Amino acid sequence: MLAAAILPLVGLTGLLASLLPAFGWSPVADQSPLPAWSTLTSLSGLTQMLTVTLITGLASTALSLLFVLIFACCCWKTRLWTLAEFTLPPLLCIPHTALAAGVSFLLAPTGVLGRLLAAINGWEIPPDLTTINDAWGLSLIFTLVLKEAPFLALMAISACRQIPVEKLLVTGQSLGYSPSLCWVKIVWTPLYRALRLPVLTVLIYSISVVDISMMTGPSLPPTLPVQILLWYQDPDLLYQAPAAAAVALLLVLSAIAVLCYLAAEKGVSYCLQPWITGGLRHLPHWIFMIGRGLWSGLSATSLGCLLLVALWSFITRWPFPDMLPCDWSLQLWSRHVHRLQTPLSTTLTLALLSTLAALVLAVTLLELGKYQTDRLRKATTITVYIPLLIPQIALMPGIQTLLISLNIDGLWATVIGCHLLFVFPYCYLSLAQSWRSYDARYSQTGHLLSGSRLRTFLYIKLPMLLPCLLTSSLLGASISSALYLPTLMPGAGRFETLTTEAVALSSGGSRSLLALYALVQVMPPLAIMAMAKLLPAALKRRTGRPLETRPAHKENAA
Amino acid sequence: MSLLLQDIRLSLPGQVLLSSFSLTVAPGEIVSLMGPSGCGKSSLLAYICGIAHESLSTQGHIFIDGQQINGRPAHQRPIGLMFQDDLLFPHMSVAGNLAFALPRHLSGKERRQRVEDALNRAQLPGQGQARPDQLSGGERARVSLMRTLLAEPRALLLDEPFSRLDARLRQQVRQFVFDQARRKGIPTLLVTHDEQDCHGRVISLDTRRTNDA
Repeated sequence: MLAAAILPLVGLTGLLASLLPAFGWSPVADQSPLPAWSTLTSLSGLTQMLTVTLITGLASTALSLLFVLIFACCCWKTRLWTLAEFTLPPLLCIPHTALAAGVSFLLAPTGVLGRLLAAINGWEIPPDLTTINDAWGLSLIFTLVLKEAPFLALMAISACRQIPVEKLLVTGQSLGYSPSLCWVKIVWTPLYRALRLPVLTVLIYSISVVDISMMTGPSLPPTLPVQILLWYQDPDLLYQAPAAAAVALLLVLSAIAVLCYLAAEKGVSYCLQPWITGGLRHLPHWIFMIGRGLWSGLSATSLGCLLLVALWSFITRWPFPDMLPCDWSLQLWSRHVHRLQTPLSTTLTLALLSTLAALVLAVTLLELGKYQTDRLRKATTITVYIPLLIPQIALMPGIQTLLISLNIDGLWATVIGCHLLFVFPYCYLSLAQSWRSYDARYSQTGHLLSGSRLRTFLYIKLPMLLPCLLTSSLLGASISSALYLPTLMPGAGRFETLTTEAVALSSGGSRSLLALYALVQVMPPLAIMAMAKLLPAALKRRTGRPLETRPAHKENAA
Repeated sequence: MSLLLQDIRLSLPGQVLLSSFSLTVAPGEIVSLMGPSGCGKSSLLAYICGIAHESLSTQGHIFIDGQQINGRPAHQRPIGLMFQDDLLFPHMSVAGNLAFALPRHLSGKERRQRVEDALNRAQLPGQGQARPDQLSGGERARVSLMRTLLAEPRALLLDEPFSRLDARLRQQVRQFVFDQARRKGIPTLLVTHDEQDCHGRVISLDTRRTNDA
């Protein structure tokens, strides 16, 4: 209970502490040397910065949602759906900075795409175009969609288990609607309702993202969140007050984005109502084939980017117009293996400890949740969402200020605590579903047999829920290992993780080195995922095979 | 309108559910299929609608108005279907649910008129803007039937449609369904395990005995 209250409270305090310097109160320096609001408003290119930030956020969210609509309506009961069920969880564990690195390898003028065009047109030098870090944020939108569409698709897959999809489809078909159109017209709306909160977190995230934006977003001017970080990182602390004012502006911008989104939602649903009940029962098959093609293209691009990352870490020389690299070697790996040790072990330690803490908290909270009223439980879910709905760049500076004034910044416990702030909500939300669908009668039976609540919990409930605990820990660990700001800011620069290194390297010249770090970044989540897959199977082998159940097909058919 | 089933054989791996089963349902006639669970009555309905599970192997012919429909996908068979649950779409109004079933070629005015008529016949005049969850069980069942009928089916299949209603409502809704089907002259096949639901000709599937009630 306490954790559920404290973590959002820390978040809100952090937010407040971030904002205060904008209004003339600074806990660190007595007086900020630069005036907050006039410095901000006189920033050159401010209008373009705000427009680009708002548009990239809205466009990437809308496009991701569109891809999920395409996926749901065109791919149900096809091989693509089963494939997505298997491949999305590992794909999502991959830190987004690794993906951003892959995107830059693909899109840059000297990237794979440029080489393909050069081969066709016979170019000798790369085209003089800004295809990555372009001023309008197109490459940023591209990266964000590659990252967020799979996330929302996975959310949709799990939401499909709560909606009677099959029954809706049969009903629609008995009224003469083709299965694909049944999806568009009657299954999508309830599915979308289940997706609303995740979509809002995606929107806030896209508007306030720092690390991806630094790697593939515009640079002169950068997006607003990146500008905020640049100001905070000013060594002379000149820009503390303007940065705080910019945080306030970012919050306003997020609010505007959410309002725009809600208005668009209302408008679209109003305009589509006549079409839904208008009686159109078939669409030509090719439309859905195109949809499948689009979704396959998106998944293939995601995977392709990651393959590029893996490839580049073995390349020592790849001059421009060549389609294939000319030198391959393990040189880079052997040279950097000892330098990787520190960031790797820091990443793993942070991930393991923060995930462990998050799981213990989440399980405790869910166990106590049995004694809560429905209203209290709903309130808990909403409070848990708070840290996800406030931009990280708005939270972390304030928390950093608080930590510095308490003189506890740069400690392991502090960084783990800050990771917990973002790991806990995901763990809690992913566990909550399974916890609620657990049949309490098993525990009641166990209690009657053993006479001990603790033993029942340890020997009945936990083992039964082990697979979902492992999935949740996988999610937690991959979130933690991808966190950039919550490592950078409370860590006082003493914590080097793979993610902070990858972001730092992204502005440097060496693609191979960036690829190496990005690839190593992928490894901890993949290792944990392999564990999450293998452990339940191994445990099952030890406890013996489950009893053979009666063949069920007879019941199903009748 | 008529429904004709000819030489139907349904089997699951290692088990024959039905063999050489033939049946003619005349326009407006109601035939009840009785039998314990697992006897294949729901499989038969699923087979007629074209939504049978892949593991079910099938043989035979289904004719509606003299046209064979076996090869068609489910949504192109002119069959109306009602289940235990009313399955009204919760995110649409009652009128929306009804309008959803109307054929496409109608004008806007005619659509509204038909929805209005359906509401009147379901004894819910002027309740079009209500949400399905604001209706009682009996009202929902009536709307569900009207929605099925608005799609202009040439045959009606009912899969234990009354089993979720309490005894008093059951009688009412049952009468309503049968009246509507008879009025429109739609051949109707009803699957149930409750003798009270049976109406007209009753076919008992476990012993395959036909008697006229």
